[in-house]
Amino acid sequence: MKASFIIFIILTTILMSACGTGPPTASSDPVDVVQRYLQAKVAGDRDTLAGLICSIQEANLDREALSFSGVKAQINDMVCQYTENSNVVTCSGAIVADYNGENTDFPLVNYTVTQEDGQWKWCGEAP
Amino acid sequence: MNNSNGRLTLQNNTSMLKVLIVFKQIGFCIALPFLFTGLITPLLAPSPISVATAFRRAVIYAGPGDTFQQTGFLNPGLEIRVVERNQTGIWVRIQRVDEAENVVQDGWVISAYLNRDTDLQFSTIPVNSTLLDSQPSNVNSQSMAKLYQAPILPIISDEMIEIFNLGQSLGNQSHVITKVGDSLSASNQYLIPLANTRRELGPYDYLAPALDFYTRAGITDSVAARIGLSTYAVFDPLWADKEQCQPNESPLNCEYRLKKPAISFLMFGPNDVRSMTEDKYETQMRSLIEATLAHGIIPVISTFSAHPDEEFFWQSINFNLKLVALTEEYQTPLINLWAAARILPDFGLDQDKVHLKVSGFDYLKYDTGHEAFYGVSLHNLLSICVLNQIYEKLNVEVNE
Repeated sequence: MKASFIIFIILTTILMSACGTGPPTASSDPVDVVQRYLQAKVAGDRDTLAGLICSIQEANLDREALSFSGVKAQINDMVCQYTENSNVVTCSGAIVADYNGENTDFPLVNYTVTQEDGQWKWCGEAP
Repeated sequence: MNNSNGRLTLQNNTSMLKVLIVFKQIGFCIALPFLFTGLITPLLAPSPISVATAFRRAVIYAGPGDTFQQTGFLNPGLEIRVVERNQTGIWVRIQRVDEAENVVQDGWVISAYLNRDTDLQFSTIPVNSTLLDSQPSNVNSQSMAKLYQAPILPIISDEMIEIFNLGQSLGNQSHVITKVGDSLSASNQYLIPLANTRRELGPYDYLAPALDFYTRAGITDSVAARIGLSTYAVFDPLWADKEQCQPNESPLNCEYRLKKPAISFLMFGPNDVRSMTEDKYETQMRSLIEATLAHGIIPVISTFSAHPDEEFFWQSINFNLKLVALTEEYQTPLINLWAAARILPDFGLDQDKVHLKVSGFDYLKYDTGHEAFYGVSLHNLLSICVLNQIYEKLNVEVNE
């Protein structure tokens, strides 16, 4: 009885995970790419950034990874949305940087996204 | 750049050269008779020696800097003669004589320790241009000795005149200056007070013409001088002021587009030293210099002060040495603030040992010697000295 219950739980778990959609991947969701880019940027996570930026931004990878290294930064109230066929993700909220107890706000704006090798990539600020 | 008709009124000790330049400009034949009427003779006459007293005990050094040998003390109240000054006037050579006119003390002291309620005006004091700003052989640390070796003020190179001319062809404004840097530059006590019409230059009267020229349009905040800004962030559009800057425009490019300055004062380091290697710092500063030059803007770079009790002191020395090397390579002006600030209490730094100490005045106040007590006052003074050098060099170049 006990063994069959455990088998039932395992099978159910496998079945649910197979049927579920799971978390969106970078390639499927431009909003997720931009949000993960912004989070990686304030965290100075170079490796994650490398996988999220488009090829023309690759030369700026050091800058992207290190521009918040002198401050403690976090993102507040981030909300982003993608308009179909626009290649633009519009974000609101702000990065708040704390330097020696003094806060500076950097409002989030509109970002260009592009598809490279079937994956969405962050590609700079949108005009 | 406008040629000032007031050049004949300049009474510093390069007056002879300037008179000759004026001769060349207006025609020697026209100027010659003035020699005989004696109108120009007063400019050529030996400068009077100023008499002063110290308000506090001052160490006397063998040269204009704290690395020179100490030769004695000047006690307050004793009357001395000021016979020479260094290029800035921060140091003066004094002599004290006895009743028989024998010189009993002769050496260099910090001019801010002298009472400035006298007629002391540096335009009338001869400049000693033979002594260096320091004697590095007296410094134990090799890297500190190297940093001391860099002059406090630069000589403006011919390359910078070419950059200025490039800037003019790009539409830069010859009298506009700006600043780029972290919180030390962003401080409203740095450069902004230059434009305040209230001004107490004290003995630094020789700086007035250049100050007038470079502040005629005012000096406003810079979008490329922000709290926490680093040599990476200055190139990052995310750090740009979204109300004034365009999408994908870095704070640096935005500031240069908005102001079209001729001169940009750059100082990074106190933040960067905490978060990057000296090689990355060198790379970023190189990019900053090249970007500024490409805009036809003269980059004036400052070394930064550091406190020996601070964790990053020796790293700061290495960062500053990178600046010295870069400015030598590009022939760009360098202010050796690090060396100049060594004589100030706490090296000119505030309690946090990072930021420069401010006087609290929103105007220039050198009549009471602030430059020897507050780091920002010193930084402002040295910046004005560089402006004065560029101003004079450009005038000479234009006249030629």
